[in-house]
Amino acid sequence: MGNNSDHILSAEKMPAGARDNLIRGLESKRIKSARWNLAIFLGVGIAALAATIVAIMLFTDEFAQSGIHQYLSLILTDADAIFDFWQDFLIIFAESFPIAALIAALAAIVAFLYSIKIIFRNIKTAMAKVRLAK
Amino acid sequence: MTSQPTDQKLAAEYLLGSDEALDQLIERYLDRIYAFTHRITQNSADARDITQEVLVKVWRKIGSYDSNYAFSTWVFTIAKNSSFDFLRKKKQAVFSDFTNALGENLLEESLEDNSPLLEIVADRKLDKDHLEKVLTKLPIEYRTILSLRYGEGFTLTEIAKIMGKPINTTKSQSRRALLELRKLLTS
Repeated sequence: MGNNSDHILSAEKMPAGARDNLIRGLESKRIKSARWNLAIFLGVGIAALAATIVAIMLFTDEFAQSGIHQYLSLILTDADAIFDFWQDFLIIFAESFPIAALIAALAAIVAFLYSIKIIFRNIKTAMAKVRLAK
Repeated sequence: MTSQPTDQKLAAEYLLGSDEALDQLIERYLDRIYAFTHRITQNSADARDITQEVLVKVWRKIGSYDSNYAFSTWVFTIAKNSSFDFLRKKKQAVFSDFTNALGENLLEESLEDNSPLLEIVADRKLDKDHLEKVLTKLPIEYRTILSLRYGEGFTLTEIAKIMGKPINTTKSQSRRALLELRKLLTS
């Protein structure tokens, strides 16, 4: 607020009980909204968890089928070959790596973590009760 | 002694997950919002309805609050808009004849009388109840500006932001409002 100190106009006081009613009104809407968010994101979270499991299984399966692990094992047995033919190695890696499955797995994980965040954000409010009238 | 957290800090804390921060903000502004909407509507039931609407809007839209501006300005912008919308729906608002569709006062006369409200009140030996009654006869924009200035203590720059008008327009309207008030007091 600024420096104007001409508070000449008086402030109308709320009728008795109105203050509590207004606060309870807002509280009621916040609780209802939190319960909706909780219900929706519990569903989304469960679906995202299932999608994460499926996506990780798919990724590991495709990774095993790609043969990349055979090239990676060369690092331990014949590292010189990796350094001599690193460009070919990179091309093989880029062509074989199951990038789509990895993206799907990461997306499912992000969706799951976001759902957890929303659930934790809303659970306290959703479980609250609107204060009773005095 | 610990100082009270600023409005901006409380808003940021609420967005990070603290419901108590929003409760504190509501506590700070509830009475002021009610007093302001009551001055605009002159009706307790309407003021309560609008105040409830303002609280809900503040809660829902707090994510869009820009902390570069004063929180009070943002809240009272919502309160002003909600009050005007409410009165338009009830067709109770008497808007100034000199205000065009853009909300600009087209009267370019020179306004020589710059007496602030305090001088007018002292000059006429008015009590505050009588002043409030006379204020109800002003067009709603003038009543709003005087309410924000002399009821809530906002500067004209802040009032311009709340009203969504250029500062010069707000200054003109403020002076015009005081002139209208003086005319009403003498009539």
